[in-house]
Amino acid sequence: MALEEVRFEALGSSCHLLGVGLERGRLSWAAAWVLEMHGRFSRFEPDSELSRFNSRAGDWVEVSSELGGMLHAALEGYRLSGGLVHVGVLDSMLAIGYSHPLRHGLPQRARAGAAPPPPLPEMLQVGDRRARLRAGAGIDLGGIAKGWLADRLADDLGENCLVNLGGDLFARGAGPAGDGWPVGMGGVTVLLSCQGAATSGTWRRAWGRGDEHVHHIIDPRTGRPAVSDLAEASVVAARAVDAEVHAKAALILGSDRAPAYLATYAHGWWLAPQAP
Amino acid sequence: MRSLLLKAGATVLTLAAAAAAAVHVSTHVKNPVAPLHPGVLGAPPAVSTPASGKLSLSPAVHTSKVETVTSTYAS
Repeated sequence: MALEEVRFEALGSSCHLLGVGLERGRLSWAAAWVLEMHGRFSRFEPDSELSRFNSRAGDWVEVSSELGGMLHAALEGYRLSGGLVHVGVLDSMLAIGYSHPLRHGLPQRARAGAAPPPPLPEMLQVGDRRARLRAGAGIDLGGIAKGWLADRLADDLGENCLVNLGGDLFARGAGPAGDGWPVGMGGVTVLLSCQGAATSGTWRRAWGRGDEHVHHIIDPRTGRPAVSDLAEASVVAARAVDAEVHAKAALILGSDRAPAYLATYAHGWWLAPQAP
Repeated sequence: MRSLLLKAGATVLTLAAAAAAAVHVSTHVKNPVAPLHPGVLGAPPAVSTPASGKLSLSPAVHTSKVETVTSTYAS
């Protein structure tokens, strides 16, 4: 059976959907679904469900099943990473100037750094189809959203498909040749089957030079861009959202501590050091 | 007699110079560190290699030489 694919821009990233033996029109439906999710969960869209949730911080708010799922995933990612993956760093994102999509231009000079956020469970409560954000707080779902959406879409798209949303991907089924989906990660090609993968790097979504070099991986312990001896961490895990969480945590941990952490949670990883 | 000695001396001197030059040339066919040594004859150009990094895979993940269909660098 032929391999079908579609590429498009959404979620502030390049998206790539592939499938073998899919029902007619399935990829078009999937691309439209991703674009709809972009409109609902981008913090840069003022009318998005996420923006409305942030604007009502302090109140219990009814949330969709998708937002509820992402918020649960955010709390789980926080727990698994020992607090290193924290969606409540919106103030820090704004402080470094990341207040608009990067396709509209790189941020100007950063303002004074934001304070480290409180523990996520103190900021965010999630109940049955409702959630509450602490007054004055804000969240940026970022990679958690992409990973969660990739997992969700792969469940629905077909039995042999790959969903790649800005580098957070889930490969379902045996792939085009029957031995797994060949995915580039780090310096190698890995064959994935019913597994997720993601890369976190300080060279992506980064701007400035020298002492003013800024990137978007925030260390919640400081409220500032993470200082790490790793330039990149790529991870294979059970799901895309897990790979996203563990790649980011590994990057923040650095080369000394990341392998022990990843040995607990990941199926495989690639750690690349900062250039000398 | 004197002219004969001069001719013989010149001949010997010429033959000795030629022999010395032949020895020198035969033992100095090329100089690998000559400053004008053409680059094309030097070491082969470096082959581009993957970015440096450390890879660790469990038995649940296999590597392959197959061309990739996508990557985690799509952001």
